[in-house]
Amino acid sequence: MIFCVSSQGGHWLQMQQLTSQLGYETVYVKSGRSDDNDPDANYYVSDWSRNNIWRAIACAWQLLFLILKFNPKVIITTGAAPGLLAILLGSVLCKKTIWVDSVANAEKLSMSGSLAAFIASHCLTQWEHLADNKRVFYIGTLL
Amino acid sequence: MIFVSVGTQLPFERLVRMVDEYAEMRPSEVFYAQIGGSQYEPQNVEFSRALSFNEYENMVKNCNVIVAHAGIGSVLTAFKYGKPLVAIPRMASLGEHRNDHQLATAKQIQRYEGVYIANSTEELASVLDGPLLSPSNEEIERSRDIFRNNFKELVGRCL
Repeated sequence: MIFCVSSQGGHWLQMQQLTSQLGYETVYVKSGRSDDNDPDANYYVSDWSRNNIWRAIACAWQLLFLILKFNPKVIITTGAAPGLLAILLGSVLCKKTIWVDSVANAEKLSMSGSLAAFIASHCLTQWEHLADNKRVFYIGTLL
Repeated sequence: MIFVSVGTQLPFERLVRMVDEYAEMRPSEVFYAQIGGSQYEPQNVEFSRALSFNEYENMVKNCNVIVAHAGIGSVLTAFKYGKPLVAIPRMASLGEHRNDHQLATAKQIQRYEGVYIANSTEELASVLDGPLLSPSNEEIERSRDIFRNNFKELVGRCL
């Protein structure tokens, strides 16, 4: 079982492009407006960013509930902030975690990505020049 | 139809104004704009603040060209449906985003056929009035497949 967490918009499209053909049983969790009626989203959690950090608490509880419910082996996220929470919860719960930094970050890793590099089992950038091959790796890009 | 989108997160007044000014000059053209939290409401363009995922996809399918902020969602959607994209990068110095990553994105994507960058109403007009090429999904899919295969291997090692 694979647990995929992503914010709406570009993060979500990247998640779909990367994982929709993986061939494993997958739960998709989207952060954002639950009234967007996305057929690919199995669950919605509260969205948050540095600008409204108090909503992170709701998001963390929702993610914790879902992770405990599905007990996935792997947690994958393409960001943004809610994905970082999923990585944090996943590492505490001894799951394998993969952070895929958004292709939007062409000049430096996102702030969440830089943090995820220290927490996640694997941290990927989509720009070759941003990989340090110690904590951050490049294995391909969507753009 | 020209479909305009500022994305889901932040308002983008400058883009909405640019499109509204262009629309005033081209009254016969049909526009639809998703303007998010932008305070400025266009006078010459039909708009809504937010669109559902399906509404957004339908707008893209039915449009001739997308005018959008230089967000990755817009870029990937334009490629997915092979629609010309005029991307307008948000600038941190104008308070349009937290940082200038959209300028970096714009720099990276402008090498693709069918992707155009505009920073002013004049630039927008010259792109939209000219012949528009469509981006090709095939070229980009080839490099994506390499990524997908490597990623699948990585996930396989985690299971």
